[in-house]
Amino acid sequence: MNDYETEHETMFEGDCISEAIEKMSAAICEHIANDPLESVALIGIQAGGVPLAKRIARNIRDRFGREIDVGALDISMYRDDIGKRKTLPMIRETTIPFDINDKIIILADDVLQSGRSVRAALDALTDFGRPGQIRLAALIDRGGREFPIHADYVGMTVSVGPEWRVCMDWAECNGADCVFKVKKQ
Amino acid sequence: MDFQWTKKDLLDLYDLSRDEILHILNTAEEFKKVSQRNVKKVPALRGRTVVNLFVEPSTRTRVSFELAEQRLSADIINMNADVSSFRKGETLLDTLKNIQALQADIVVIRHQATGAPNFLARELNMGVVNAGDGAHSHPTQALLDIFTIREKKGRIEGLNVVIVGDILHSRVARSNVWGLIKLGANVTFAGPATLVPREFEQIGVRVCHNLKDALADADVINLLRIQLERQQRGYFPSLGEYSRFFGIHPETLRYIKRDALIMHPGPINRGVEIDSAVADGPQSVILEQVTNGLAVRMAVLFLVAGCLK
Amino acid sequence: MNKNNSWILKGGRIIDPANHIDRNGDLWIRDGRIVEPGSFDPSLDETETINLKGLVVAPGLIDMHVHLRQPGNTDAETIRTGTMAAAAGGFTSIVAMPNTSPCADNAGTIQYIKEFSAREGVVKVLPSGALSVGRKGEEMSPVGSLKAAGVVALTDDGCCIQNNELMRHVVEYAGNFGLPILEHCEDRFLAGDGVMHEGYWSVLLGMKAMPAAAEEVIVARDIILSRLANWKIHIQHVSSRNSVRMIRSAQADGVPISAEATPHHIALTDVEIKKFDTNYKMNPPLRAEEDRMAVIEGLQDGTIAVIATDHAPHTQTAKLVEFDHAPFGIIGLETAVPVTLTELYHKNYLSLSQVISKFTVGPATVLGINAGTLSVGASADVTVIDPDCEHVIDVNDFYSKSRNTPFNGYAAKGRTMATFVDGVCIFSLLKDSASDDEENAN
Repeated sequence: MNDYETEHETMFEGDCISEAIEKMSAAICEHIANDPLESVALIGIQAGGVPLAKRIARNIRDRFGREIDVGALDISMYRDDIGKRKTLPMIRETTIPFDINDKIIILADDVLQSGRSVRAALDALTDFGRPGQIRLAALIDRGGREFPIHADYVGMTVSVGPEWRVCMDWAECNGADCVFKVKKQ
Repeated sequence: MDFQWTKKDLLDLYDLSRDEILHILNTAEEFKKVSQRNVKKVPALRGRTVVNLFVEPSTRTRVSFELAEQRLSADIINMNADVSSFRKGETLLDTLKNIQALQADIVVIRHQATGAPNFLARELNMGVVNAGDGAHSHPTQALLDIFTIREKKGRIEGLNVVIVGDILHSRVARSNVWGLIKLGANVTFAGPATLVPREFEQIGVRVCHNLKDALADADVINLLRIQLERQQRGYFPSLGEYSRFFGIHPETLRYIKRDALIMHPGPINRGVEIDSAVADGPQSVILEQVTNGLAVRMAVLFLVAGCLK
Repeated sequence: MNKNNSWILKGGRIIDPANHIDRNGDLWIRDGRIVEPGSFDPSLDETETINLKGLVVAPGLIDMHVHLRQPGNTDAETIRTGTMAAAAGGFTSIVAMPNTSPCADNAGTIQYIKEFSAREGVVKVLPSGALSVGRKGEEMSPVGSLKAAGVVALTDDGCCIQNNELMRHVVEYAGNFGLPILEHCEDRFLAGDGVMHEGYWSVLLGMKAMPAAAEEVIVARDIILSRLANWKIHIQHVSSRNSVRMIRSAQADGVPISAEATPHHIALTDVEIKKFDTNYKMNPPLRAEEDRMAVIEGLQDGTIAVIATDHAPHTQTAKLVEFDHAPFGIIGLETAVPVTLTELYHKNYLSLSQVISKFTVGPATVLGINAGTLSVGASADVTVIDPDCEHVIDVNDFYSKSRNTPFNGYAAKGRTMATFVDGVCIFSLLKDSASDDEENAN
């Protein structure tokens, strides 16, 4: 994701990213206003969805004054392309310290493109239990679906050519928020 | 950049770097969680075929690998010691080439002949995972041992690890020693002079023929199984004498560290290398080794599968 | 075509250790013999003159330890392919080992080998006969009739007589017939089912191993019996430093014991086994660095007067199995010259003349044969060598039927350029000669 050896161009930085996240959080809050907070949980898809989930959770806490359950889900074991990629995905932590049965689970991912990661996340989640509902929050929707996957909450929609990959740096991990595109090798 | 695993085979720990060993352990941690869930299965190896070729028979290791493969959703072919094709004179290589032609992806092999997995890895496109070859190497056993130590002690570096028993014929000892040294442990081999060769001192291992001296500072004690046939070939006078001077008994617990771990690759010879009281006691992590073995093998199969073309 | 087999080999560096010659000059050949330069008129007869400036002209090399496999195991090698490999390696005479099938322990098999070699072989094949019937070490073979059938030596190579009393009788009896004994020294019990040298590497790899003692015990036995019977015993493929030491001391004492070393024991050690490549598996095995250096020292001070390849062809099928199960042995005829020149001459352990003596006067003396010299009147067995030719050994160039060598890809400096047997050029890589290549030989 952070391969600076090819062409690399910044698309968004700083405030407009936080604003986009706030916009998504507001939409989520409105949507769940009538549901008890305990019945809702955020699960970030590793790796970029995890900081997103945490930030949304913070915004929700600020708005409603209460904590919402947050988890992290690594989907490497559910991918459909093991052995086909040049590099093997690194398995990161999966922590879902709550019961997902009957809950409204909001999956969070930083960039939504083909929809395959989300498909893998859906498979993984259903191995953990039987959620009541699953919704998807994507910070950036860059189009290019290969699966019939649709995001319920979107931070920003961008349009780039298929030769570009859209990536995200998070302040928590990389020092500053930044959305950028890199040319595929 | 994330660490990249690049090997299509796992043959021994001698060839792995410290980072590669750590990567396997970290990956295994996540796979351990899978076995703690309700649905103990992931589709990671769906559509892949794994052949379990146990030319040297084994029950425990084979079952562990089989379960790991099932939990990864792989298709499994089991071929055991009495494989009829061998009886008809087919060579090992030809047997495997035939299996490769059937689109099998990985072979897990246990064989009496040292170097058999290395030989196959060179000649085949399939991934080769060594489940034990001769007295040479048993990498998944060493990895699960090290995983267990790390889980219990939080680290490997600086720990005093003592391996006791028939080192001369032990692939468990030979694999453990490379992993432990690469991760910074202090390794001691202890046992009768006839079964613990001094050549290991040249790689930085302390060789000790007195159990009490060996165990005084031990943080981890790994006991190897004594085979009856060794006694029959004259390496030591009797199992009774072995047990008296090199076995672990309740009395031993009095002079070793209170938090020293007691490990054994199994199956245990109760009353020979270890007493029941100790094997079932609070310092023993023998059963956890078995649980961890499953996670480690899932991790290894997952990593190896990712490097197949 | 050169009718009289007349040649003038011009301007090469003639090295003939038997005659203490090492100087630039011309070598004249006619009617299959070395002749005095100027003894015939080159313009009258069809004489081929080739310029060998920068190249070494040596007596035809002798390899006294070759397994031709025929009769019996022609999948791996035949007399034809084996002798072609010998020619490509620069060897004009080879001693064939008797572990054929049937075993060369009777006049009939020797007869077969001689006839077949005369018809199909391209170099001189000197048969050896077994010491014991079937090489089983129980009963003496018919030594007298083997001698009459034409063997040049006796050996059980591959096996070793364990019964000391029988060995004593064999040595005494062979002495009667003037047949040197070539001995593969191995105490079967100490060696056990080992597949490599017993030492640091066998312990680290967990492999079954053969201690050097298995060789040394029999070397000691043979020194004692050689002294007792006052007859020549030649120790084959010496590999252990203690063996070298004992042989040196025995020779100083006047015991008629001689020794040979293989190119692979000169070049390699047991560290190679960690690859589990069966091309490094042979008996005696590759040993530790101290043993390798002791062998080189033995070559330097003359304790070891012979280099012989122990050329042991095996089919790919036979060798492409687990290390424990693979047969012992590697080929060596086509790698001997490049490897020994690279490891001994270019690393300054031996002079060129010393290296060549190990392939010429050394073996000729042990066998008591009239070969290995460029004396006027000798058979025109000549080997032309480029001592500085840098090249990478490629198994695909080999004439041998087998490919079991650890030296594929080896960066060598030194190479056989041409081989003459009885004045006929049977192998040549030289550019400016109208040489017959082996396809047209005979």
